[in-house]
Amino acid sequence: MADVYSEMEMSAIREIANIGTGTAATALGQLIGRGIDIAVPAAEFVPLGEVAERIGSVESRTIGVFLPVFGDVPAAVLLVFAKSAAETLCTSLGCDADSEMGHSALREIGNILAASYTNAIGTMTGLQIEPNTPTLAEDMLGSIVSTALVMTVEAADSALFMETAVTIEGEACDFAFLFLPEQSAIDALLARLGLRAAA
Amino acid sequence: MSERHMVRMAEQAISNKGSDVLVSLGLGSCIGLALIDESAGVAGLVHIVLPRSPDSGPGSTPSKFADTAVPGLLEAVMRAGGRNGRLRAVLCGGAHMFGTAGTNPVMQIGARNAESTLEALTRLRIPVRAKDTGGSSGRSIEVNVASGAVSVRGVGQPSKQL
Repeated sequence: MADVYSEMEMSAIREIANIGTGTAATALGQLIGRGIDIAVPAAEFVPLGEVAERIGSVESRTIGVFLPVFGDVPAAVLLVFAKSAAETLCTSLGCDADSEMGHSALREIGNILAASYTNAIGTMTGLQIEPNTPTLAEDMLGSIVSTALVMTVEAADSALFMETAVTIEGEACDFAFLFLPEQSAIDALLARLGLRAAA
Repeated sequence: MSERHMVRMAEQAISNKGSDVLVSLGLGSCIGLALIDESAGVAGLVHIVLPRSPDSGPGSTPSKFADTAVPGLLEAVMRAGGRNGRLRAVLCGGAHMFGTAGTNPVMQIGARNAESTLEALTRLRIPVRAKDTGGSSGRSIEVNVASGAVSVRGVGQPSKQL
């Protein structure tokens, strides 16, 4: 699936990631009341077996927040927080990352990031995109990422990996924001940007 | 020094070298299936991702789908010196990682993976020595080729023998 897209289409995909992440970072900054910096997001096709390794140590304990995305762009959003990042964010919101309140806060961060990211893409393309209710799991990084991939990419052998690194007021906050579109979603986005005939 | 062979999503590894250890880290809804011939000192491990191959066939990744991964692993283990009547299966994984998903079949993928793997083993008449499937936690699996021992561990937990 990686070779199917031209360089121009890949730049459009990167631009979508850029706009989505920028909007999401602004929303997160407003929520926690601190300045957020984001790196230029990665957007590339990665073989399924390598996605987790790109994010971190496969067996490390992490918190994953997963949101299926419905509408014209079937996809999923997965946030992967290192324990330290979960603590930084929860502390900013006045709660403990290990408590039920902390987990609610992380789910809410998932809601806000996914909603702002998909809204930005929706506004840009006119496509209808609806994130669903977030679910949370605390477990090995590899288990969380592979399960999220399986639930979205199904038969594909690689995933469009859109990820960004986040810094909160100069302090590295080790969490990954992944937008995982299904094949039909990528085609719908490119068609709407005039780069591909509509299916 | 033992050599650890990583088996990632949709991959398999076979060994008849006593010093080898076959490893899959961070299984979630995926299945780690080991086929072991203890007396021949041969073992194989496959990292199954989905229960069934699509109608168009498994393509270049038969190890990805339970229905093609199990016969594929069997064939490879036999090529490496394993004997069908002596093989035993050990499997783990198939967890339901993200809760409150209700009955959505896509969300039940872990249970379907385990079911489809067991079906394929039954079809091929391979006895199951041990299994640790389901639940809501991820697992890592290690297969010691020399002894045929299999250990499974969850995050922050001691490993247990299967």
